[in-house]
Amino acid sequence: MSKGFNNTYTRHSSEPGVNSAKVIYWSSITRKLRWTLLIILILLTLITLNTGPGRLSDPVSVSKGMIPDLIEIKEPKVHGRLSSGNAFTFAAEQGTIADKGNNELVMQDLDAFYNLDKNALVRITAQTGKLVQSENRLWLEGEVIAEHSDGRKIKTQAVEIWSGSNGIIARGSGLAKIEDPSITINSRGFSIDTATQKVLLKGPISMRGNQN
Amino acid sequence: MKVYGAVILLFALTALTHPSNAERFLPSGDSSISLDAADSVEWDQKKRTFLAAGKAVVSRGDLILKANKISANYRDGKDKKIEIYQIIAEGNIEIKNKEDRATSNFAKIDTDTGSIILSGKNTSYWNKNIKLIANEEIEYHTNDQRAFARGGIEISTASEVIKAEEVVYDLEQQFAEVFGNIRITRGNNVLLGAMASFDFKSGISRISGSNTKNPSSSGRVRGVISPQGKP
Repeated sequence: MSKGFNNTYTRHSSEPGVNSAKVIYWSSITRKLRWTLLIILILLTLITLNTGPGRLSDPVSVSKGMIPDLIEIKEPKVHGRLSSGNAFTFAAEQGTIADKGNNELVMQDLDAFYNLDKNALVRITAQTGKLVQSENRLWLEGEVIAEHSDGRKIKTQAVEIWSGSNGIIARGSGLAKIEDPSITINSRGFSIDTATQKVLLKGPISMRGNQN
Repeated sequence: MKVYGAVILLFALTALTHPSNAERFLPSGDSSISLDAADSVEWDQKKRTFLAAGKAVVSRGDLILKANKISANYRDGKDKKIEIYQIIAEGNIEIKNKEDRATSNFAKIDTDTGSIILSGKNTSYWNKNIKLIANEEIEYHTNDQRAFARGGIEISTASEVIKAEEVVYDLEQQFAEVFGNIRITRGNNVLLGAMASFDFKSGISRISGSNTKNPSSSGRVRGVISPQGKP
């Protein structure tokens, strides 16, 4: 695939016997703009996660006459804002949009930033991130690391994040290492519920720290 | 009788929450605290509680607290750091440091009142010199330096076994009082009474047939003294 993805895409056909066909299409400026706007609109829908508007930093083009089942995007970047007003940015090496009735955006080598209150920042990196708009869920897998600007850090293998009735719920499975300037926690999974303000660590758990 | 040995461990308990007291028991510079749990740890930020379940172990230096469940209540301390003011442990509790060990089914440590309560079945304390068993509870108040043990008490040393219903010990005065159905056994010698006192400063001990806590009870001190050595 060409480096310049603005006008390049990979189409995976659903027709039998045609698994994948790479088509490079150069459209007229008018058509390109029209499809670009359409794709941006789709992506905006995908990333909202009940959170508010977001936008791709770079547009993409698609074939004329049909919307492909699957669109691969090189180095996608998504900007948005949570319903709370906090801004976020998703950047990835590669992204895939799949319309399987549930609107999925899959990102490889994800690097996400969330601006929190009082100038605090959370950075999340993962090998894979999957956003499913129909379920309001985000899955992160493979070397998931969440770092808070205050020095706290969570390392784990898989995290599922979704919108609950009153807040955000995050559930991590597998080994998790939580590091704080004063304490280090190892557990076999965790859950965080912002509505109930409960953090649950699953055992076996070890916490090592310095009280002072 | 050296009841004061029992309070060493109770002092040590406060090391979990009072770093100043910890200096007495922990190596200098070692203030690290650790927690292990087999099942789960829950942090409720609304209720301001921690709950560790399943073979929970809290340790700091040589001091170790084990229980089926350990919960802690906290509040904001200096610099908004978490300040734990109460710890409650339940089920198969074991507390130990280098020299002392205690067991119980329930423990409550309150740093505001400076009290430590061990209660339930298997409430006991021992070190190399003494073993204390209490069917109801062992209680220690750091503020006034007093310790209590209640219910079916048995104190064993290398030379004596003392049974009673209640023990009150004043650490500052080094003075202990023992109440109710007292039975002091030393070898083949047995003394029975209702109340006894032990002054560790003067070395004077007294045993009485009357219990000041129960005026209706009056009686005499009885004893069986066996001659020393073979006849």
